[in-house]
Amino acid sequence: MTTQPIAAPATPLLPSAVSIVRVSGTDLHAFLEPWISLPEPRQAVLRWLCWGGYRERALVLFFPGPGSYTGEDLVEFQVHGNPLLVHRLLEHLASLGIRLAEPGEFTRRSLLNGKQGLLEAEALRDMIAAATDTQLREAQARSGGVPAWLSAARAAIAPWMARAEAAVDYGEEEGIALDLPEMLGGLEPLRRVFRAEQERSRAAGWLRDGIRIALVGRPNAGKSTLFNRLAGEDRAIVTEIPGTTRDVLEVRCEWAGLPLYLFDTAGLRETEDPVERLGVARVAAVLEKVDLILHLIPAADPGPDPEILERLAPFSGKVLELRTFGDQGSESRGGTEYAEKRTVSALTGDLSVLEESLRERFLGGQAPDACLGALASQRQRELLDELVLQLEILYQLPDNPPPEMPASLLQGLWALLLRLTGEDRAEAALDQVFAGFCLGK
Amino acid sequence: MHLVVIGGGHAGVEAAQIAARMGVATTLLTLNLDQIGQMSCNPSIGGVGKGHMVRELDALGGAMGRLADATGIHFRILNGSRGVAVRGPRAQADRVKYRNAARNMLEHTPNLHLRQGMAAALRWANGTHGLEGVELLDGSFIPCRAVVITAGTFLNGVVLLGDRRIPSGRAGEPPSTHLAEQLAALGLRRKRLKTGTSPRIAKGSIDFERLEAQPGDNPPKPFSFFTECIPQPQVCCHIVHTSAETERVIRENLHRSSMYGGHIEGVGPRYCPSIEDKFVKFPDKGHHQIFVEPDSLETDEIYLAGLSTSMPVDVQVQMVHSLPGFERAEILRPGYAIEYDSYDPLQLGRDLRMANLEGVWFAGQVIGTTGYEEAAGLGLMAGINAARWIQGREPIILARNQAYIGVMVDDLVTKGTDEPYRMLTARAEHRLGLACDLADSRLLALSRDVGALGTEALGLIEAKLTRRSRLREACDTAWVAPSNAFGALAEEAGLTLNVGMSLMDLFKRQQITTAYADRALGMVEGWAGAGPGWEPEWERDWLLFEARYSGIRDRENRVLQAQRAWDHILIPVDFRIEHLPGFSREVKEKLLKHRPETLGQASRIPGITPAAVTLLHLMIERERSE
Repeated sequence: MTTQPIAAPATPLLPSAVSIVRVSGTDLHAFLEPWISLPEPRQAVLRWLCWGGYRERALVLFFPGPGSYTGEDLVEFQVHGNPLLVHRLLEHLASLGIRLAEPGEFTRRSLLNGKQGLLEAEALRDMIAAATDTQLREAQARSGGVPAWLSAARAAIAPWMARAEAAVDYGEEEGIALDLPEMLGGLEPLRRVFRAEQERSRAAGWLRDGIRIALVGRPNAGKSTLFNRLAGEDRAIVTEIPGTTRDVLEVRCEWAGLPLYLFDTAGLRETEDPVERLGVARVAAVLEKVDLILHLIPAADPGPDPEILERLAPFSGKVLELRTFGDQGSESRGGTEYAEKRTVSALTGDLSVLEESLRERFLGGQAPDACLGALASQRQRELLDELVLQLEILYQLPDNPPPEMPASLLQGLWALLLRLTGEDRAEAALDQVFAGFCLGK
Repeated sequence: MHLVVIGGGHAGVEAAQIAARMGVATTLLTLNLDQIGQMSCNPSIGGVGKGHMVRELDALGGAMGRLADATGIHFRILNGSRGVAVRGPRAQADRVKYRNAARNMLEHTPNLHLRQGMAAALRWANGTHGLEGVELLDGSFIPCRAVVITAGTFLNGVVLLGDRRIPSGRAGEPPSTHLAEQLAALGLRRKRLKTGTSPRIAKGSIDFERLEAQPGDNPPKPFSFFTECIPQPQVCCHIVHTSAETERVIRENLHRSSMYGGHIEGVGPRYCPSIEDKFVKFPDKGHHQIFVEPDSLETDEIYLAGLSTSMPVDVQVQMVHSLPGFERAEILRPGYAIEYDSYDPLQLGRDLRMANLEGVWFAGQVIGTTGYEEAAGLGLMAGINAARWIQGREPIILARNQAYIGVMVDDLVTKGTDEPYRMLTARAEHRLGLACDLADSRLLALSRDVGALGTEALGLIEAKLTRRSRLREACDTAWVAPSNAFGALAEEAGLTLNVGMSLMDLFKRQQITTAYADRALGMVEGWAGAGPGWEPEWERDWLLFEARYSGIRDRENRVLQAQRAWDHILIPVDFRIEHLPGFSREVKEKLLKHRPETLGQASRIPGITPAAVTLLHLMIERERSE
């Protein structure tokens, strides 16, 4: 029984210098040797590829399984960068019994063959999807697989779990007990690490997913100026939400090391014009989904526009009031209770106040680089939250709890750690017990 | 309608007893009628995890709990003073009386016939379809529709003592080779497993004065939910520790043991190591504990639990003499190791039926377990499901959150086992919800479905259940206020009450010791007064446990939720795993070998990653929608 071999272009189908087609499967010799002879493993060799009237001189590489990316035999064809040529090559491969791969199938095979762990695969996925420098570096920092602190956590928990289990099943007959205070003392460094990692992962999550920010304010409040300053140099993609150009403008960019989605809104005021009203509804939807609303108020204004304030009231937790033209105006006056207040000058370029404020709010005051390597995806963050909670329950146990309580909590902790790295639960827990104690009659 | 159970050990006794009580005409075929229910190893039943299973099978109508109660001479609840969920009853049973009681119980079970003889072969009408019956070595033939094979260590069994290999199913008894040959020829996957037992000593040759006494609980608490009193006189057990001399004898003679002399190919249980193993694997632990257990009130035989060995007899003598108090001890029967054929449980369905062989169920040590209780639990389930198959009814599958027996069956048929499988509470992820004292109420609905318990027994469980839930409700609603009697009690316990709370909430407080809890409960309506099977102390402990820890249990269940949801997703029988795209050969082979019936089972197969399970799930969904 073998897996069906698959093929896919590894480079975009655009006219270019080189296009790469990869083929993966168990025993590729059987499929390819009738056509060409495969080169020695891991050596780039020039071969003439001839089929159906085509003659292409290509660089061919062969990575035999299991030492390849997918864990199966892997062959790479580097051909001239012509999309039509790639199509024809794939057609020919199909005639040899090598079908076109489904999206993500190479990575999936690699995962199933244990060539990479779940964490690595997730980092890879994020690396391919990264749109800004910080996102790219964030994903790369995770590509090493299981972080050291996770391995250390398992090593720290294992002996205690073994003792707790032995105490339950053999405690009375073999005189094995778990000293709970001693264990809690021993796990204290881990508890601190978990909490720190939880903080870091929250921040890393923002770096990975990007921060969605809406700019609002009365006309001429300086929205466009600030928008252009933030999106300015590093504008990656500009998408104009179809049909809403006049209402919301979305830009994906990186500013001060933070990946941002900026939404410049207009039409926040109530209006009788039915077309504009439609726009107002769309703006409301944007305000709903963003992570932060920057409310821009010119420093010279006596206070914020009451109508806008009313519209922002439901989002009080995520509003940051910015006094703009701080270089021109006087001391801020009035304002609202619910919003954080800062003063910036978009004109002179001094946005350090905003940067500091965003760092505080989203990165816990840390620099973006300090968060690299932390768990970042939503799945990882949720499991980390569960881990922190599970460990905390252990600390909240009353004195002298029944022995099954710490044992069960530790097993839960162990299972969560394994789920995080996508490993089997298997007999790992019991192996620990019987490696550590001489038990049984 | 006829079932034949091959084997009269603990699995066979349960299978035959339950099937007969379910109304199926059953024959128990055994090599020796005098050995029915024989305890081949130490004369002890139960313990943590194991005791749980005894109570579970008792709740379903099994025999072991009642037999242990009738013949027990020393009872102890392990973890008795601590957790409620992991309290495990254990008893020393009188080996001779237990055997007799087991035979007697079977003899008095309607629909049940005993027959001495050796099964030689199973006969089918057509290949392995249409089971016709069992051929005996004596030339006779027992027609039947189904068999449960509970052959224990007898299939190709070999006793090992040093470099001696003696073909035996148990010391002094012949092995079964004909049936083993037929099963192997049918292509069943088997492997050699190994287990061992300890030497037995003449009571009069031991100086008990020098041993540490270990009395049983007084009064003894029975295993069975339906036992009213323990009839046998109770005796004391003793403990002795190995000496430096023991270690020297073992180390110097290690090469002469079957195990370290290279005479054993089978894999032994980590959970029941030989004394040689203990010294080799834990060189720093100088002294090992040995339990000195009375074998029977009717004989002067003493069992040394913890001294299991495959050493030649002359070394065993030196080993025994090295124990303080055993200087002049006489060995009545030497210990030995035994190696036997076991059949890979991955070939069985969740109902314990062998795939591809019509009408054949397996249970007990022959499918890779160790221990009387494990064997009994499997025997019970195989008996129930073979009987239901004959009756044209759906099998009964215990869930992992219902019973340790369910955990064991699921572990065996899903993950298989590399060594003799022993139950440990750590195997049950729902441990906190599997208290053995609640097995009766937890399994009540299933037990009704099985139909082995009479209306009186079921009524007893129901009455207890009703009383317990009424009491719980009363504690949930009883109000503790500074002005009332509960409040006064709380104050006496050192609590300052600013606001009122329910009695259950008061029980959350550590200051409420068992003594205060008893006084508070005394004021609750419905608490006072005895009832059959009603143990006020246990009920009080349970209420305190519920008050303090049910939150953690609920969280445990929630964390496991995702996993359990998978248990409800069935993998279609005709699901063509071999044609699935995307899976590696290794994953496919594992799935084909383990043949999971649910996604949950698939997820528990070693080497099947969560990623693979997710993919499998998607494919099942896709097939379903097509």
